[in-house]
Amino acid sequence: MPLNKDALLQVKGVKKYFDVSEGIFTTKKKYLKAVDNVNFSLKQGEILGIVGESGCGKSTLGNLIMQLENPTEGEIIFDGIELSKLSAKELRRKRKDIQMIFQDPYSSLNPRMKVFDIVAEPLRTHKLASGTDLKKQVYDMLEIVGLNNKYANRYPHEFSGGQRQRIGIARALTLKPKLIVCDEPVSALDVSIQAQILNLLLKLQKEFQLTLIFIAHGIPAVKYISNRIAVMYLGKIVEIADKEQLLSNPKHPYTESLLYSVPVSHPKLRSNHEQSKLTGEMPSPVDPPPGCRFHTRCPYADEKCMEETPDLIETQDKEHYVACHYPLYRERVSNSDSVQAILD
Amino acid sequence: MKTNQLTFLKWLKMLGSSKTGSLGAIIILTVTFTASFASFIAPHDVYEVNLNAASLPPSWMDGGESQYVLGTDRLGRDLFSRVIYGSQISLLVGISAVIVAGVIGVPIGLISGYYGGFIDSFFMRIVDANIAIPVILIALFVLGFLNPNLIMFILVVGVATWYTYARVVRSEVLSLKEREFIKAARVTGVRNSVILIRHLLPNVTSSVIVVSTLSVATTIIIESSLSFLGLGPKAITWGALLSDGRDYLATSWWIATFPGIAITITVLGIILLGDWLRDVLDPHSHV
Repeated sequence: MPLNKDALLQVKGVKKYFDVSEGIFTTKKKYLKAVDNVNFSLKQGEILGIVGESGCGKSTLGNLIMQLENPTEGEIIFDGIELSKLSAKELRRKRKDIQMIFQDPYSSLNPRMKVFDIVAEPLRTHKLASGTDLKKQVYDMLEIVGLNNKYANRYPHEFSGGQRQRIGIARALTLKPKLIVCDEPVSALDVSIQAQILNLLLKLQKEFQLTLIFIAHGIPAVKYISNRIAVMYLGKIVEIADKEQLLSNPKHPYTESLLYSVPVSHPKLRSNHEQSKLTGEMPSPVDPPPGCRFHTRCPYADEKCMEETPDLIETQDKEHYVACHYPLYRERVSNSDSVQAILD
Repeated sequence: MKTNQLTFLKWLKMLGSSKTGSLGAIIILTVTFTASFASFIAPHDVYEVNLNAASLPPSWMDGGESQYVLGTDRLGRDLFSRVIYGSQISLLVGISAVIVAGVIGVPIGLISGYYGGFIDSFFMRIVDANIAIPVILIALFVLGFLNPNLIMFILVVGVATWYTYARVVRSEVLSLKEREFIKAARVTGVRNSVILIRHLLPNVTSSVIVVSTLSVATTIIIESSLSFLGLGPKAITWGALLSDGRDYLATSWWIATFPGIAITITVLGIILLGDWLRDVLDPHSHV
């Protein structure tokens, strides 16, 4: 897919292979292809949701963007600068603009640091404030995320999961970053708290003009918050489109099955999409299946899918990219019997 | 200085609320006090030989004399005074050697666990080599060739036992560094040195305290073994007294027993105090 030159973030052909060769004397190297040739770009102010099952490489992609890991191949261009080309010192300075919100609020806060110090650390690290100014900024930030100032001198273990996640958000926001990568920020929280945190993130996104990458393992969390959704399967993006477009008109069979894997509460609204329900396990990313990686679980796959790897190409709908030899059309989706007939 | 006073009172209050902690503190304070004012407390000159009063049993036993409370050794020197004086060197050696070992071991453990790879292998192989050589052997070798004075003794024992700290700290860091708060610090751009000091070090203190308190005991034992071999700090120490009495256990059991009891009580006090300190330093314990 073409990349937008003015984008805030451009991910170009990024690959991350982990060496998992066994034994000292084996000459054949084995690689775990966690992220395999991923391309996308992100405009200022956009919220991109990245969805996929566990092990599809979405968290590794997040780590690559955060420069916590170096890509095996490819470029990550943020704000016009290729991050991997920066020296350690320049990168540390650049980190001010990219922050991260973590999945587990119980392990993301240092148990031996007070809330004030946790939120103040980014400011102190980049020497942006000190003394009363620092105090004011930290208190303001705590207020913005909905925490009382009087909690500043407490330790993390005195808070609930939702409050801890708010502390984590305050820490990510103190530097006023341009981009925030949220790695499953609500999946460890109670359902009632999830909505609060999502609303907070949306509010902050508007207030601070933030660009967000929102990683999640299911459509529901991403559906609420994102403008655009990318679906990942075994290290590759299989479909990327605007939220409405993707939800109402999924073109990749995997996206379709992810949508139908969400239980529908009303019996009459339940349709007979049994064949598009996902069965089986995701194959190992060490030896991904040849051709289209989804063919082992795809209800529509044929010989071509087993041999040729489909590219991520734009469909007749604008800005809707899919990597499938036989992209789905609305009629096929709505009438599953006719789909079966076509395949037969 | 008002805040300092306040925190001191707070600590005192916390100590008072823990029975075992208070007991430990009382023992350690008593021993420290005894060591500091040994010359005032001791009733006899420790080197005063009185062959007429040789090998006297403690005063409450048949044949004991009231001026020798814990009896005398085979040269008629007062055991009570010697135990009091012995606390000086034993305490000094025990605590200083532990500090030396900790100062070497903790940073190496932190660096080794955090950076991993070659640095980790390098330090851990040194640790393996160090474990393979008994402490006594290292001490014999070094002290045998060099002047076995007190400072040398402390250094040798410290250098010979640092690996316990390195191993404990390293294994702790290995699990800590995978936690998300370390990732968060890296993402923020915090320097590795700051991550080590501000994020990792406070999280390993409890293990370090446990290891240190146990090490004080081991050090006192090592000191006694070396004194037995004639390579001790050349002074009156509990270890030296203990090994003096070893040959006379069958006839004069008190010569070895009372220094032994002194060691046991002191070590117990240090362990109790260390246990309390570990609990207090853990933010979970006080809400």
